[in-house]
Amino acid sequence: MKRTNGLSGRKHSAKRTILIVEDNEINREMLKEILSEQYSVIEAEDGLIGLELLKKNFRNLSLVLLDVQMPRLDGYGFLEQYRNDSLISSVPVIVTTGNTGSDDESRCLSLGASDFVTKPYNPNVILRRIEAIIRLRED
Amino acid sequence: MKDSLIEKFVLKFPNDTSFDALKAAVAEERWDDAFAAVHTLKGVSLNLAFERLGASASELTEVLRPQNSAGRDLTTILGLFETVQEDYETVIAQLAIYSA
Repeated sequence: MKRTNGLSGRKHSAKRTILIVEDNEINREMLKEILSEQYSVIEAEDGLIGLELLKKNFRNLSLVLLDVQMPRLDGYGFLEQYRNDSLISSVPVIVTTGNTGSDDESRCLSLGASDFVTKPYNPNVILRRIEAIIRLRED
Repeated sequence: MKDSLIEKFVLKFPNDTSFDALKAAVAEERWDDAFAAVHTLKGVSLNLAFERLGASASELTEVLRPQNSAGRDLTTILGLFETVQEDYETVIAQLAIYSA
């Protein structure tokens, strides 16, 4: 198959699916809006629900977008369980956060996250990073 | 962030509960809850391009961050919260005018 631009070579097949794990409704809806043209989206409002959805759907998921600061189970707790499960850790995670400190970034990456994007969301940056991570995984 | 995307979501901000959660947590001196709430408020504000509110919320976030608990004092927290509250009320008032 010839790839012309990004992942568009797959445009006639089903959309890839991304799991958004973010507790704030406005942030979650904004991410969904950014992604919805190119991807199918499923949503979780905290880390516990996110982990359940990931375990249930990991075969069909291309990527997880994960917030850090969340009730019940935060992004770090999510990643600690994620990295110890070889099945769900096959799905790459990009962390989204308002933190800009390199310690947070380093901690997330050491827990198995593939990449890190900060708020405010830049739609182009988010879409390009998602595309790069998915392509890396699928190649 | 694209302006069209911000416009689509900005009028939802008055229904966001993070400021109310912050106010209640500060009043009851529940600092971990206050940190979680102001961190969320900061993230939403940054995404919606509320720069002043994002900046004041960011400053309070750093003071309330659990790792910084040793250096906290109540006067500093309340002073920063007051600024966040003023910035929040300004945004809400502007949105009321915008949507009228």
